[in-house]
Amino acid sequence: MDCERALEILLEAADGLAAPEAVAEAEAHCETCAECARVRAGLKLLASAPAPKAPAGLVDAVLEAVRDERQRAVEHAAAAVTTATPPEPASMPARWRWQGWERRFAGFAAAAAIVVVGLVAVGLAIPRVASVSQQAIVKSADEYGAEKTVEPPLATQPQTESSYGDVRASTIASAPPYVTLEGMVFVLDGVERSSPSSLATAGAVVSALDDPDSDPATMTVLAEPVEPSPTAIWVAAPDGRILRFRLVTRSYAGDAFALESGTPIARFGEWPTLPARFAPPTAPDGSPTFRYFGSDDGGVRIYVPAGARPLDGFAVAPGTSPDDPAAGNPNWTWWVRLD
Amino acid sequence: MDRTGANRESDLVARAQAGDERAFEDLVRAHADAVYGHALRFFGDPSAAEEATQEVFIKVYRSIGSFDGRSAFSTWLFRVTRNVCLDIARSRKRTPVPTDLASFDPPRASDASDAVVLAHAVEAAVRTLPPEEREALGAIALFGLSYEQAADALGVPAGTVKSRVFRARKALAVLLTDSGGGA
Repeated sequence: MDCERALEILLEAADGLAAPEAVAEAEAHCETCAECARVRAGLKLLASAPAPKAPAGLVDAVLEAVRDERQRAVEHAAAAVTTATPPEPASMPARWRWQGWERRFAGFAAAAAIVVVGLVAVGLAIPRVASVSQQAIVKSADEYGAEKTVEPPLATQPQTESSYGDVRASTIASAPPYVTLEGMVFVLDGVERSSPSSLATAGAVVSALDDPDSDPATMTVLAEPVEPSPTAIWVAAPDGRILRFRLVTRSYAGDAFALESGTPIARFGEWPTLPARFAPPTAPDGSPTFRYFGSDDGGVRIYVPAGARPLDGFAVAPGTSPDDPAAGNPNWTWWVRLD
Repeated sequence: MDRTGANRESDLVARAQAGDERAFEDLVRAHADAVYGHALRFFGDPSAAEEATQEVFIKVYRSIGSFDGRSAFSTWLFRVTRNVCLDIARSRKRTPVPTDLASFDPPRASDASDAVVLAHAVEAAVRTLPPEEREALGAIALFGLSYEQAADALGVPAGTVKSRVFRARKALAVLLTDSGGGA
């Protein structure tokens, strides 16, 4: 056996992948080859060396940091619902306490700066706490119940001077211009004089649109036929114009989740509701219906029924920030994964 | 990991995904050494490794719901650990440990039987490896991945992982016995 083959066998043996006969041959080779014997001795040393171990206390610090994360989420939800100013963390999060001030930082200013950078880097709560206290709390359930001028969160402004577009700056009862199609919530995305010729009938919506006095009318929905679950729909309004709506979605783990309403939305300004299969939570932490799970890709807290996984759908508490797709909704909302 | 161990881990992951805090704690305890070890070898600095370890598990806590079980949990955790270390290096100007052959001081043969001395010598020797070999070795030796799993996590062919690990082990073996009299 030559040296190359002997070393190959010895290295494979380190993973337990070499046959015993081959190892015996390599061992025999080492008896006559000082270089290979040296490698063999080194490999034995390597195999006997203990692997790095986390320092005593690090695991406890990690677990405390996770508990901090969970607690902040509960406090955040409580603050959002009660509209009280959310408390700043009473102390340094555990993940930073673990390291110790004197060990890592020369002075308070440097420490504070690094803590902020660290928290921002991992998307922790402080930026969102600040955001909630200054913005989301303003848009509390009570305030949204009152009449006020709002800017519906349209990603694309209406393309014409339609009266439907005027809803953006009109005095409305609160919610953006929503319609529901088979329980899924769509928001007005534009007004067009005609629809693309490629569209096909995809159902019907029942809505009075922005008319607060009329009964809801049934209107034909058009969508691209290639989409199994349309994310954009066109509605032929009674006045002949075409309203384009887009599905209201949010992202979790890279997947899109759509807003589902338990009740049909009869006119613009009405909020989606939690589907009837879920009892409305009675506590800010979602209990007893839901339990806090984590955050979506935008850092918004998400909640799931006991024993469920977010990929099967999740709930979001009221009080999300103004740039959130559920902003202003006084109800818990339910989000289902798009196929 | 044998089948029993894999089943137990799958059970822990499922329970953690369902909100079982104790299960999540068990996962942390089971994998903290591997995560810390990888971070220590990446940064060469215990303080940075501790920080990275905490960030890894916070990230795991936040996103365990997105773990779909298509790969082993260890493979996913290795990927998360690797990404967190890279992110820290990018965002906070922490410097990954350089390859530093000059600083390696091999253990004396008489000291090599001391586990602490030997462990220290191995970690010092690991720092002399090129980063890609260090990383491949960590995937196999610390996280217990197979060559195929490591290949999946690192995005290179399994044969590449194997050759990197072999080169790393051979280099370490030579370094550890480079004290003249062997060990």
